Amino acid sequence: MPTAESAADSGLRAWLYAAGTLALLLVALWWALIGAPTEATMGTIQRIFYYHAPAAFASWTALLLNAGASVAYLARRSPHADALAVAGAEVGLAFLSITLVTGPIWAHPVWGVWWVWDPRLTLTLAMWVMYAAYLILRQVTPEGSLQPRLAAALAVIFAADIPIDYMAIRWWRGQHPAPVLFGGPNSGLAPRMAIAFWLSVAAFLALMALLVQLRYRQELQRNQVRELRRRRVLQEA
Amino acid sequence: MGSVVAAYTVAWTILMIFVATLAARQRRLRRALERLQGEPPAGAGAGGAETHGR
Amino acid sequence: MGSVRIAWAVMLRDLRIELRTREALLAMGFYALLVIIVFSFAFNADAALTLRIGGALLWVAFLFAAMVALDRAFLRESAEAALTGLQTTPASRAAILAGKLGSSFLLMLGLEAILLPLFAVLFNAPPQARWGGIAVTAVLGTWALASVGTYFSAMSVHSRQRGVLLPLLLLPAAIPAILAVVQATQTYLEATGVANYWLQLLAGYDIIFTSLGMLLADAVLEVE
Repeated sequence: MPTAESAADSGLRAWLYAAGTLALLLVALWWALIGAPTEATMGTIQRIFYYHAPAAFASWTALLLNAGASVAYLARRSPHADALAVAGAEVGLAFLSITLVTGPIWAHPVWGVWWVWDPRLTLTLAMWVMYAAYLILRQVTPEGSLQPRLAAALAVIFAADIPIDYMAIRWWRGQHPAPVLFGGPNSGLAPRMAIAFWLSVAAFLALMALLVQLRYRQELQRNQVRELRRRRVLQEA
Repeated sequence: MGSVVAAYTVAWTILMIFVATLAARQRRLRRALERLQGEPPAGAGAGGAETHGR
Repeated sequence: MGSVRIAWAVMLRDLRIELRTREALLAMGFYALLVIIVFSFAFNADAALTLRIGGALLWVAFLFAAMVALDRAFLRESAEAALTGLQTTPASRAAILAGKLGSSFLLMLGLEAILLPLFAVLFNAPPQARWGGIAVTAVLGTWALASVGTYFSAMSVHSRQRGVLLPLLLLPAAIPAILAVVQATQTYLEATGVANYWLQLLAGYDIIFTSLGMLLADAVLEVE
């Protein structure tokens, strides 16, 4: 149990961090909608990209946390690792949802269709289904030591699956626009677009870290409540 | 323009739903914790999730 | 050495139980047969259609059969806490899982051997189809489904919603394998070439997930 003083202290820090993240999100929002110049060929619709891609980055980072924490759980069986794994999966799924919804909204006017079975789209959808299945497994597995153990075992399988998935899907199809960031000499963003883009990336990563941290602490508290309940039952018996 | 507004609205809505769920769960947890410990814990759990949810 | 013998014993025991009760085989066979029949009604199957989507139709039927077989793999142990008995023996859990994997694989393969000719007749398979290639694909693909599937079967047996959970875990994890088997089968049905790289992908998938499953066997089979 943290002492009252340190709890208040960390509470203040959490507040400051949350306020900073919110400010960053608002600044990034302004840059994305107003600050960045309108793209020449696609027009306004290109502004969706400032949320679409950063959300994808944030989701990958969160899911990477889930994979790392799951391996750590299997090695050390620490409830902290399990809490981080849940937090990573839930937050990752939320950001994946943003990527998956903003994508078709962009694609419909530009490509003329809502959805194509292109490698990256297909992979993102596959990942969404995987981590939704992961959270469902957690829901339907009885609580106790079994739940984190099975969840971690599943997360490792899914994480190993993603690169193979990508390879298989790439052999199968291809239509997503080439990466504008690290692609050939003609790719790249105009300076003011780059500002908007990287601000959005920073804001989304900060938000991801904040949400993961909150969810992580909540999971630890949930464990605490469960432990207290168990003890009470034992006392009454 | 409409598509851009729609995309940004959906993104924020998803985030709001996530935060609201987090906050609701946090409230439930805190109530359970208070009941189990017999008295409100000093500051524990008040720091983050719940307050940001509002 | 000991582990191999244990895996062998678990496999033979499972197969013997299965041959005595024929629980899984009957359910699997009938299920897959119904899928094939319903598909031929639904798609009004003719030779031209089979040429186009035959691979997918065949593997959807196999997949349903696989699900039944994998569900039974650990369900078989639920009577009289047989699973706990199995878990508490000094045998390595990887060996137990390997035995289960072997028996599920052979069951599925046996069923596919019966279904494949049936499919060829009911769907008017093209005469140029290369059945050797399809058989290799079926072996690799069935091992792929069995390797992740056995692992998930051990995981879902504890759940309150076992029947729903297994496909929910298996289908997303098997996406690359399903893509590969359908593409490879399609290639051999149309006889348009050799699906080497799909077979390589399947082989890679088999190796990776079989070893991961063995490595993590302790995590899924540990006693509470």
